[in-house]
Amino acid sequence: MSAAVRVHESDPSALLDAAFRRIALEGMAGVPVANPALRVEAVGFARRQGHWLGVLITPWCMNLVLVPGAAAGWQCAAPGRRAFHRFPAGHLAFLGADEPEVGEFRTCALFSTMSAFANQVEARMAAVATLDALRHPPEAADPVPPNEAFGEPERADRARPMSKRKFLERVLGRG
Amino acid sequence: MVETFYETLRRQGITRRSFVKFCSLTATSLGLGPAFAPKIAHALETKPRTPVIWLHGLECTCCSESFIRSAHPLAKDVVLSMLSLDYDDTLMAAAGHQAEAILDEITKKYKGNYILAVEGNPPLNEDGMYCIHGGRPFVEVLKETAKDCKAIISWGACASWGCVQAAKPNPTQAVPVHKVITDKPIIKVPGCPPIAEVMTGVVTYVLTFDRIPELDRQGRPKMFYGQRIHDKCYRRPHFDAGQFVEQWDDDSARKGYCLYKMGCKGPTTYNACSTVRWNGGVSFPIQSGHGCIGCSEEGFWDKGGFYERVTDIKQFGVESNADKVGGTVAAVAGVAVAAHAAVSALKRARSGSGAGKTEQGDR
Repeated sequence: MSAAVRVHESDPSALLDAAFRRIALEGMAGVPVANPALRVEAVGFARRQGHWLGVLITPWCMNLVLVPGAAAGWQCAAPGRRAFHRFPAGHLAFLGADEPEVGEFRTCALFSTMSAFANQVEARMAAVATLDALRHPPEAADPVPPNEAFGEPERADRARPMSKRKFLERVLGRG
Repeated sequence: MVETFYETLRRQGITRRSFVKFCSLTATSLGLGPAFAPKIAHALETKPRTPVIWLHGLECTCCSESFIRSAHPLAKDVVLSMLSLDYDDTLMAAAGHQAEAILDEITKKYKGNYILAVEGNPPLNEDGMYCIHGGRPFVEVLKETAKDCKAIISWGACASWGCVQAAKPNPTQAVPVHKVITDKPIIKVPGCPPIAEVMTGVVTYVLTFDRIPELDRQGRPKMFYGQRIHDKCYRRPHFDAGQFVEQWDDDSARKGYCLYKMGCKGPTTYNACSTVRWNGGVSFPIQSGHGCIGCSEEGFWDKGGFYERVTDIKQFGVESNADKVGGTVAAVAGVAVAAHAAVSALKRARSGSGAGKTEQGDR
C-alpha cells in the first residue's frame, strides 16, 4: 500500500464505472453468476463527512461504496481489512478494496447475486432506497420476540381473550 | 425446592464477578446489546434450573466436541452447569442401569419442563436396529423422551437434516429428528459440527428467556443463521472485483482471492462462520485457504463435489431468503418492494447480530 491515499476532488462515479466495466470483461468473464439484464452503474454518489458515498450496481453484486474525498479522516485499509462506519441506520462494516482506475476505496456488501432484480430500474430503485434507509435509524424490533412455540397452553391462553366467566372467577378468587 | 441457575453456579464456586461477566458476554454474542445483560442475570438468579437431556443417536460426537471446546471463557463452568446436563452419555458420570434410571427419573419428575437436546438421528430401517441405546432401538428412546419435553434442540447436520448417514443411498434409513417428532417445537442448529459459540448462545437464550429464539422458515435461529458465509466473507471484495483462485496454490491463492471457482459453497450456505469464526474467533475454513463445503445446509453430501462450482443462480442464496425483490414493474409497488429490499440488505450488512467481538479482527 502506498502511504498517500488517492483523494477524489470530484464525483468518482465515472471511475468506478470504468473499473467495474473492465472487471466484467476480465475477471468476471465467463463466471455464471451475472444477471444479463443489468449493467455497471454507480448510483447517487455524494459527499458524506468529506468522503464519497454511493451505491455501485454490477450484474453480479450491489455494494455500498465509500471513496476517499479527503486525506483527513481516511485511514488506509489493506484489502480484506474491515473498517466500521457509523450511520443512523447502524454500524456497517466496510472492507477495503483497490482498483487501478479508482485507487483505494471501501465496500459494504448489499446484494449478491443480482438475480432478484428483473431490470436496471429495479436495481437502481433498491440502490436509491438503500441510500435513503441509511439516513434513518432501524425500526427497533424486540430482540426477544413473543414466544412462538413454548408451552402450548400458555400460548392458547394469550391468544384467546379472557371470557367473562373466567374474569369473574379470577376476581372472586375462585379461578 | 429446585435451585436456580445462579445457586448452582455459586455452589460450583463461580464468583459473582464471573457470573456478571458471563451475562454481558452472552448478551453481546446473542446480538442483544449490553442492556440485556441485567435481564439475563435476573433470569438466571430467579429461574429454577431447567434440566436438559442430551441424547445421542447415529452421530460422531463432533457436536459435543465442539460444544465443550467453546472458547467462551466461562462456558466450561457456566454453560455446562447451567445446562444441568442430567443425562448426556458422553459427559455424565453415571453409566449402565443407573444412567437409564436417571433418564427415566427426569422425564417423570420434570414432565413437560425439560429440554431435549438431540445429537445424531434415528435410523428407521430394520425397526431401528442400526442404532441401539441401552438395549433398545434409539428411535424408541427418542420418541419416549420427546413425549414430555418442552422443546427439542436438534444439534448439528445429523439431527437437523440427516447428514452423512442419510446421504444416498441411506442404507439405515436415517432421518432427521423432525421426521420422527412432529408435535414439539424444534430448534435446528445445523453444521458439522455447529460453531461452539452458536451452540452455547442458543442454549443460553432458551434457558434464560424460557422461549425459543426467532427461527427462519427452515427452523434455524435467525440470529446465527440469517446470513450466508458469502455476505460477510472477508474475501468478498475479491469476488466483487472478479479476482478468483483458479488453481490450488496459484498466485491468486497466495494473495487470498475468492475461492468461488474452487467450489466454495459460501454463496449458498447460511451460517455464522465468517463472523463468529472458529476456535475462539481465530479463523474459519475460507481464512485457512479452503472453500466452504456448506456443512450446515440440508443434504450437503448429495449436492455435488466439494470442489464443483455453484453455477445454479437460483440456489445462489438470496431467493431462499425473505428479501426477494420480485419482477414487479408497477411503480408504487416497485418502490415499496425496493425499500423493503434495501432495509433487509442493511439489516444484513449491520455489524450487530451474532457478530460479537470477533468482527473487529482484521481478516
